[in-house]
Amino acid sequence: MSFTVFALFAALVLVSAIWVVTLRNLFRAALSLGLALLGVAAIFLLLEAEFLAFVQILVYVGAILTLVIFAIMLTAKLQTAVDVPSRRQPVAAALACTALFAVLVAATWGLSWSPYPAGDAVNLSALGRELVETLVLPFEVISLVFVAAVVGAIAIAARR
Amino acid sequence: MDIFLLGHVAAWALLTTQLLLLIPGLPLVAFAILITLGRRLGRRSAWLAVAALLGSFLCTLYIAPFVFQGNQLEVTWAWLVPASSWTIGFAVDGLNWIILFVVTLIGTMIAIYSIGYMHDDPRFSRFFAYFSLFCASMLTLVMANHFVLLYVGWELVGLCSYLLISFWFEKPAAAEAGRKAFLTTRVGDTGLLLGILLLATTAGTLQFGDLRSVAEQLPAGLLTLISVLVFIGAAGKSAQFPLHVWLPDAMEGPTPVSALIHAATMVAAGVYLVARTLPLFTPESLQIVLVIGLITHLFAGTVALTQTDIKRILAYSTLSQLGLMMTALGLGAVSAAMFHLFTHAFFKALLFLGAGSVIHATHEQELSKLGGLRKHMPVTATLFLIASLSMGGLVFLSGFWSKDAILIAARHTSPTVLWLLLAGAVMTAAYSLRLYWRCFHGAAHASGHEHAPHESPLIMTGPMTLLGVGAALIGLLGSPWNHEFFSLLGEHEAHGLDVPILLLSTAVLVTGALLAWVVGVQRRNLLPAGLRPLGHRLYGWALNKYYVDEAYQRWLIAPLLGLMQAMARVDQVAIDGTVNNVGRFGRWTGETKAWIDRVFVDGLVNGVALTVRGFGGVLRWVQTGIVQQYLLIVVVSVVVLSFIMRR
Amino acid sequence: MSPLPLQGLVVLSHAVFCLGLYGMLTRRNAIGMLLAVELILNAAAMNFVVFGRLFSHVQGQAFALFIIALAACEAVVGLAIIIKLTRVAKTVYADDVNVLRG
Repeated sequence: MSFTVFALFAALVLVSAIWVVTLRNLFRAALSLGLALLGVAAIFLLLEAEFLAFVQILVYVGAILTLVIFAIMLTAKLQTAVDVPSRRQPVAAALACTALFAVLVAATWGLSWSPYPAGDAVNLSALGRELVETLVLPFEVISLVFVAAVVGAIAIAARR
Repeated sequence: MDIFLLGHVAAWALLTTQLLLLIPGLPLVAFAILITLGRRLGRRSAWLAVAALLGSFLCTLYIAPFVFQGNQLEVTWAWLVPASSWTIGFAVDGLNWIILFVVTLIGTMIAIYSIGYMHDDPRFSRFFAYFSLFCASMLTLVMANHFVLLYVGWELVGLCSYLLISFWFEKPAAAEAGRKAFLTTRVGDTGLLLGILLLATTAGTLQFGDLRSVAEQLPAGLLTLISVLVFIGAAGKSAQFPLHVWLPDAMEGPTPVSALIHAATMVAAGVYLVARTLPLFTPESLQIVLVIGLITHLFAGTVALTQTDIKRILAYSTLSQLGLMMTALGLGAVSAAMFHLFTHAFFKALLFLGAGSVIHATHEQELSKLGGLRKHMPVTATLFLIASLSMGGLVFLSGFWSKDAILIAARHTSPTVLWLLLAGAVMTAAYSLRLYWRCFHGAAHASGHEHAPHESPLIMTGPMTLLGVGAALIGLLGSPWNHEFFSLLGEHEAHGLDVPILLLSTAVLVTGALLAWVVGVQRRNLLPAGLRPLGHRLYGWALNKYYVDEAYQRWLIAPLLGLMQAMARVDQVAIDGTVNNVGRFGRWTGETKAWIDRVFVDGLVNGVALTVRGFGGVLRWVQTGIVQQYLLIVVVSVVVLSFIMRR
Repeated sequence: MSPLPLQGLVVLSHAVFCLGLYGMLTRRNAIGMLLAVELILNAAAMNFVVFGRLFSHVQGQAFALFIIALAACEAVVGLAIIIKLTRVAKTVYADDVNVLRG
């Protein structure tokens, strides 16, 4: 892929990620998250993982983000006045995260394998086959997790 | 025939040597029984004591023939180291046989007398216990052939004297007197002990048999020192000046005690000691003996003239007679001194028993309260007169012979001494007859009696009579017609009757009697007017015993007591101080330890606790309950860990 | 085949991850924290896909798929909890829920 395209989308992701974590207005932060997710989807496309990109947009942006925005709107009146500082321990957190970033980058800097992809991109049928053959257990467990999550959520949030 | 006799004598000797042990042994056994079982025996305890003494007397008589032949009986044991040359034991020759005779006979008489005199006393049996112990000790002392055994007897006799003088210890005066006697004789005993030690270290032997050879070996100066030390001991026991102060006070004891101990026997122990150790005495030490004896004789005589208590007069009279005996020893006339000791025992004991009889009947001792007792107590009066005349030196009575013997010795030695002795004899006659006349003649001064005084019972007058016989006649054993006495002491040639001395002593007696009658009874002052004040002053001095006791109290006793109290105070300060300081130190140590404990140990413990709490307090801040802070810590930990574990 | 900007992709996923972490540590609002969590999950998923593509391994994409599914569950449950919490504690700020405070 072209590096510039990547750089563009990478920049998008980064900026929107920064917005997500720094914007005072939660709604705008949520929207920034949406933007970031879209950027990631684009990168997935660049990596020739089309199905994943679409799933990302459909599920993440479409469902999860919507859910989050619902929650924001439900709890809107509880967001108190401006005297509450928007962030806690910013400096310490920044330092810690920078340190962690440094560690991670240092760990992965001298990667010895070539950037040339080994083979073709993964096609959808291979993915499907993988899901129902090798990874059938996780697949089924996830459906269980779904059920548990839904039931749990209802149990927790339901009004008596 | 001679072998036969010798054989007999030898067999007899073997038997009789064992008897020597009985002589002090019987009274000692009596003491042991009486002191433990006396209370149960009650009245019978007296007869036990009498029996024991009588037994001793009979033993003494039994061995008499042997001794009279000029032999010595001995029974000895090896001492300290077996089979060494140091033997200790009893030895009887003529010198101490006399005293054995006196002690056992007069002791028996006085014991019988005491049954009557001590009749009502609550501690009846104990009296006889002490009495027996005294006799046993005295006999041991007299029979010892070794200085150490003599010293044992000497000390025991002193102890018994103390016990008997303070027999009625409920009276403070009696307790005081006992203590005074013991302490004063102790001073003398120290001298004797020093003498013994000195003799032991220089001569190496303490047996009386060796004294003659010792005297030849040692230098004269050393001998003088030893003999003077021994004489100090004798002076204490025989109450010579200046150690005489205990004898008059000793009259606080019961009268039989005064009779036995302080007239006849114990006080004679000093005289015996000097006589026994005479080989050690050099001319210088004999000089000292003579001077002290004379001083005592004259001093006591003057005091006796002024006293008004019967027993006091007799006490000073005893002092005076003892001084006379010492004078005789000082003159070197041992046999004369022993003879006087012998006769003096009889008439002085009788005088004391007579005084006891008077006291028993009238319960009075002061002459001012007595008088005219001849009517009521004829036996006592007669016996008392006999004894007084004997002491005064009436011709043919015992006292006359013994006193004349001394006067004869003085005449041969020194005229000065003779005249002094004659002066003393005048005083002797004077005070004796004064006492007799004031007590038994004249108007009755007795006051406050429910009934008239009566004669004493037979149990008291019997022994007195026997002593009266002795006081009168026993002196004949030393007269020119029968010198048994002197041959006992080894002097075998007879002396004839010394007429000048006889006349002198009779003149002395008459003078004394006249003085007694005129001055003592009629109370006329014979002095010319000019000399009367001086006379008064001298009389005052004599009446107050020349203030000797007062001098002792002021110059000796009070400073010593003061020193003692000062030392007690020092001791208190030092010891109390030390104890208190130890206590204080202990407390300081405790407080310091408490402080250390508080500061360091508690501090340490508290410090640990505080540190933990501090850490806890610090760590508490971490537990904010804020999840994001926990999460921050997680992130930081991850970073740190990954840094630590990098490759 | 054209080379992948491998280093860039990896660094990007690291950066997004760290940003998400920062957001987790910093945001007071519970929902804000949830948003940050989504970022973290996305970064992980991105990493999976990158290396899946590099090695032509299908499991990379499969796992990314699982991540998305699980993210959904987690968002559901988390939001349910937040809703409940707002009803109970009457607040949406995480600090006020400090019963476990030491």
